[in-house]
Amino acid sequence: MKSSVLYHGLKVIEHIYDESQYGFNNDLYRIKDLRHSLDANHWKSKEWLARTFKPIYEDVYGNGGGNFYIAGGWYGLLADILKDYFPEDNYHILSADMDPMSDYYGELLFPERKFEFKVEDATGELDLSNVTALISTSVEHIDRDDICDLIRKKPENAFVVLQSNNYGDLDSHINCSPSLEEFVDWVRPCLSKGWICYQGALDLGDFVRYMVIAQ
Amino acid sequence: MLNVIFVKHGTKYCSDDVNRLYRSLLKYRSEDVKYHCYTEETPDVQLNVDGLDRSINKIFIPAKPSLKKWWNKLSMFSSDFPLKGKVLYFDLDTMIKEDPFAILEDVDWDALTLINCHWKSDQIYDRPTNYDVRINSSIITWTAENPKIHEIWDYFINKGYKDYFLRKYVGIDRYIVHEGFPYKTFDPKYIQSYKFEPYKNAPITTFEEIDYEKFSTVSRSESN
Repeated sequence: MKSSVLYHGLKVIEHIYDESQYGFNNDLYRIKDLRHSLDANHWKSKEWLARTFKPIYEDVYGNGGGNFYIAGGWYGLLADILKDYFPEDNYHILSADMDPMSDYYGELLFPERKFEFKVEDATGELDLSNVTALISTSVEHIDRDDICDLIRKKPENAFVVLQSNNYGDLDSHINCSPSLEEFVDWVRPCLSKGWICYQGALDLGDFVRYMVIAQ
Repeated sequence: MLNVIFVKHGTKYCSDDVNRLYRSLLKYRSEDVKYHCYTEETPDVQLNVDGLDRSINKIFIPAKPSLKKWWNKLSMFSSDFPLKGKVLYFDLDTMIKEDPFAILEDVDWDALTLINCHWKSDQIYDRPTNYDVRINSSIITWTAENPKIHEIWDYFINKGYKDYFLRKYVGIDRYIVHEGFPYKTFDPKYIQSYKFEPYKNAPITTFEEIDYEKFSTVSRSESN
């Protein structure tokens, strides 16, 4: 974990506690939720994504910049890590999440961010005509047909980078995959070109995370 | 007309559990009542070989939004839910010993009414970070057309917090209480908690926090 994220994460905890004492918002569970969003498993998964995706993206687009749309970006960890890998100004990264408080806490967590937050339901009406990569590490939270609809909204040559897992014990995990092969099998028909550039699995101990990079 | 409804989602409970509860209720009320089971539209249901008693009306859980287990109970509060009038819901791990419809005598049909877990007396429940609650939704009554009831579902599904609530709350009871929806509770004299009130006599026994095997053994022996 970057020390700046740890520092700001601790500051956010204090902020949430102060809010619970004096403010309008009294939601101490946000402390746990923010902590979970910065779990070591998330760091590993998102670092894996950025590290794997960068050379594949640059093979196709060179270093000419891009627009990355992150669906279900939570409090912004993936956007922050991606920005480390794509630091140039011509890379625009948007972290979208349906949670109306995600941008509020995300901005506290990443005050020096070089990416954008947006409160938006990725399963609703979206204009993705300018994106060069549609990215989501929250596939296990989103219905399959909604993921496919989302993919169909991007330009044909834009990349799709998806992560899911086999961790079905959580109530919010309504779209897990039992294996990498099963994950790839349902994603493939949704793709504009049917081109799988990368597929892989990352064993995180209690569960396995799967990733597909495709067009 | 009273609607009595059960929810069967997933594989924890079988059709026999639905039928057993249905038949035990039918003994006490067969007129001016319609029995429903809110369940998935699986191939065996479509072929009518699911084992559910034919007299039970099936209402299918929509494919979307995908919800797991007890979270499907919340969608019964939707304005789109295909029932009209008074609704009485039972969890499937409920056992009927005497006339359970006596519970309706004191019900306020303008309110959501749930079970009072008066045995949860520990002060730990008063802590702001303890999201446990002193009610449970093993039995619920409401009126289907009540807009205040529809708000419970609308707020869950339409405000962007659905995933956050699924992480924050272990079940719908905590969601209802901690998101501030008004509710009332049944008079405890009608309900025995098998775990927390083992020596109480009441028309209805609930088996919350009891594993399925134990519930199944007890309910089968009682119904024989």
